[in-house]
Amino acid sequence: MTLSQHPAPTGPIPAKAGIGLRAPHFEQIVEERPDIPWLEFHPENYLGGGAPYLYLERIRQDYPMSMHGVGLSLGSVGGLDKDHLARLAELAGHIAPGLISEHLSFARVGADYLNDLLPQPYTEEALAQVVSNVQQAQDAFKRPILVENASAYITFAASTMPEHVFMAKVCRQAGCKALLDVNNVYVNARNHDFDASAFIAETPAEIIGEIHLAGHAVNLFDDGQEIRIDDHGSHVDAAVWTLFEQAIVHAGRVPALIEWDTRIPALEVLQDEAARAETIMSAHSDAADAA
Amino acid sequence: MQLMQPDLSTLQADFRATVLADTNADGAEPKPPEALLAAVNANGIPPERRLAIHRNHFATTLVDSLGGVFEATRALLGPEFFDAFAKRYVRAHPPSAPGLFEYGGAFPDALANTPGLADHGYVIDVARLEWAMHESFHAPAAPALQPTRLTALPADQIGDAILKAHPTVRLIQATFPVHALWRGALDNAVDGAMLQGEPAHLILSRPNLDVELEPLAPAAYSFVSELFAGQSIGTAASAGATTGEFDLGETLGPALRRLSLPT
Repeated sequence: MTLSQHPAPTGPIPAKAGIGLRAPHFEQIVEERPDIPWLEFHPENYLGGGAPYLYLERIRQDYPMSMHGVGLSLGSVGGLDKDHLARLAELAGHIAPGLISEHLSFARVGADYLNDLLPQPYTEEALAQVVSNVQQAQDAFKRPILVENASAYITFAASTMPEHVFMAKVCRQAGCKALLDVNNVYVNARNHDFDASAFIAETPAEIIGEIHLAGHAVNLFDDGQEIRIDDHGSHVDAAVWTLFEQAIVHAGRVPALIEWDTRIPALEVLQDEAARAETIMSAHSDAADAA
Repeated sequence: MQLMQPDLSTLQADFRATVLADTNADGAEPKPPEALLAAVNANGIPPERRLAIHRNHFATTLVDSLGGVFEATRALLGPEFFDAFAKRYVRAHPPSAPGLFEYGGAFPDALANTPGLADHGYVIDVARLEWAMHESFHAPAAPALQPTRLTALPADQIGDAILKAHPTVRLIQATFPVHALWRGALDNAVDGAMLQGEPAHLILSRPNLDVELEPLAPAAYSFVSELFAGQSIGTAASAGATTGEFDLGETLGPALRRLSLPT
């Protein structure tokens, strides 16, 4: 197959339910141009400029695109990886995504990347580092980014505030927005025994610029102790849909996204999940319009 | 009494040490640094177990990534051996960039330097081919040389022209018939006779989205090797003619789309 080029700007991300762009769906999206309001891509996969980038360049001509980093390591001590940041900024310059987001976690220690979204303590020290790193990223991208609450299997004794307070402080001090991942909120609430609903209610509505939805796994240790793993490998959990509805009522209509990264199903399955999100969003925005 | 909490720098360094520590010789999980264990809340699950989630995630995701890039190599070595080898490799050679497509370039050499694999040179050849294909797939697109750029030159200047390889081009010279072995490994159809075949000379390129792989005669291989090393067409043609039967017209024509003029 040949990819033609006809330039068109990628527009702003609409307040609708989009889908995470994954390689198994490239050809179908290019050939069938399915009705999807926007797509999100992980920039790390396209930095070579090779075949995946050719697909991305083609797909961006038909869909609003959001750039969602997984490797910038906003929590790393000593600042961001300047080389990686420069490559991301160059890619963003070519693709012109409507939104740019990253995670409240770390992945890089010195020269080594640990290929994970690793947890950090919610302390003043970590806050100052993340704020400085977010500002460094925003200087490179020349625009505000969104920061996502991460799933975590670890909490630290040193933490002096809950994650949503940490996230709100990052947003206020760095001038960024929050990407509220309601699946991560739920996974963490179950793993660390807190009230997911209160987390959402206490997150300032005005900082929430986007919402993520995904499935997770329920794993058991040898002794039967349960732990929920954020593997993005299944349908959105029923309890997470309920939290999503709460988040939409709380934050108003914002862009929402279905993520699916392991055991990736047919594109239609993702479209069905997005349609379900859209139904919930429409119900509440229609109600708001009528009021 | 509460232990003093490590600062962020120490915490992240300890996390790195925990994730990258090799499994003990007896198969037991290595013990994370005390300061990190003390920093992690138990809350029903021992800190070691919580940290082990990240140790496992690091190893399994990177081993999966290598298994995807080196699919035929994995089939030849057997999934069990490959995965165990790769698990040690990923801890000894963690990624230096977050893009997984850039990870694994040193893997064929690590296989080659493993004493137990000295008699399995064909596996190393296949691993090098798979990495070259992977690199070609991710190399930046660039326009190919238009034949008219070359034919427009006065005849007496063509020999002096210096061309460069298209960014997606990779050359593979192997002791074993690596093309057949690679295909056979993916189709689960490798047989001993394949190991007796002729050495391979291959050129890889990606004209658009798919990597193409083509065998070259030894003389043609010498020619393109010299060309891509920066020699002029005339000098490269002499190298080709020294290697074997060589026809410049026949070789250059099909090679054009894998070339671009120096900018």
